[in-house]
Amino acid sequence: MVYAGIMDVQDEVEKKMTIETKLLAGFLVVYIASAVIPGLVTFLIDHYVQDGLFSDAIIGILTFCALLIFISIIAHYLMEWITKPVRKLSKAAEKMVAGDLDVDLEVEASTELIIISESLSRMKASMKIAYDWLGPPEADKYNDKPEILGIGLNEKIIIGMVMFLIFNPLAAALSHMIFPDLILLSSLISIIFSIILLSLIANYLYREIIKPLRHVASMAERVSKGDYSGIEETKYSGDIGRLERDFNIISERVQKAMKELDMDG
Amino acid sequence: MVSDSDLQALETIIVNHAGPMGKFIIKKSLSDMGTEPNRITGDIQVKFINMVIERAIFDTDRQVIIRKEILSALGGGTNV
Repeated sequence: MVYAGIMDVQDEVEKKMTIETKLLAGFLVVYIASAVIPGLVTFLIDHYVQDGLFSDAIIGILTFCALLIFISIIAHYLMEWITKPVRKLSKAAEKMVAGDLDVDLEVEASTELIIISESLSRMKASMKIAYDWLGPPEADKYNDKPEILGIGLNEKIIIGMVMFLIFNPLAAALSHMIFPDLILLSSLISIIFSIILLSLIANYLYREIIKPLRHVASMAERVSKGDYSGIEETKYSGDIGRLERDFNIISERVQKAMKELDMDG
Repeated sequence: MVSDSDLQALETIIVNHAGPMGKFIIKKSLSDMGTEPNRITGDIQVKFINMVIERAIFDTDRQVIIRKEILSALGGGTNV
């Protein structure tokens, strides 16, 4: 049986896109733009600029700049959609670990992040109950929590975009250099290389962003419903690693409080 | 009340709103009632549900919403 309150959360989760869809959409737009923008720049120069005013090198630089601006816009949106809510939740979790339960956990984000936000809300409620029964916690080992370093989410998105921006035109140029007279063959090789490149970038983003976020979301959901078997050592680094670490600390505190309350009878 | 399935339904709702401590709250409230779950009926049942909600949910507006949710889960409130 599904109850009304749970239905609301499920509905909200179903309406939102997953991180994977957002990243895929972002890179697909970049892929299409990387094919369209060079042609568009050439077309505009041919039609609106006096003949011979721009050398091929300048046209190349202009095309690169146009691509860079476009990719920066897409990267900005991806960061707004992914990094910003992750950092908001991470900061909230950090405050909760420090004992401040007056935190805003609402995020307009993807499925995985809504699950994490809901789970943190449950843990916040549980911490409030624990404080109510036991009083605020004494200083524990987590006051000196381990520092989590590593590349941030923004940097990972930028790495993916830059890899694409550099290697995709490079592949096209190389295949045209190797087969200057065989346009069809060189275009085909260029497309194949683009697909391989996209797969490599997708694999990188999956390993670095999607998989860790899904792991944290799944662990957070189970733990916030009382199944502590999901708690593990912090596996990831960067922004997601910090969120995972703080969620683990919160879970252990709630678990400890429950044990204490059980012992008190 | 309070059959195993009613208790399970109550636990699902409370845990969904109050996290894992919801389980403790139900257990503690049952123990504080000082009676067997299957004897919690009528007024005692209302008292029990109120006790659980007040201990698990601090926001009074949300208490009202969650009380309704619990009552509708436990047979539309007809047996409460």
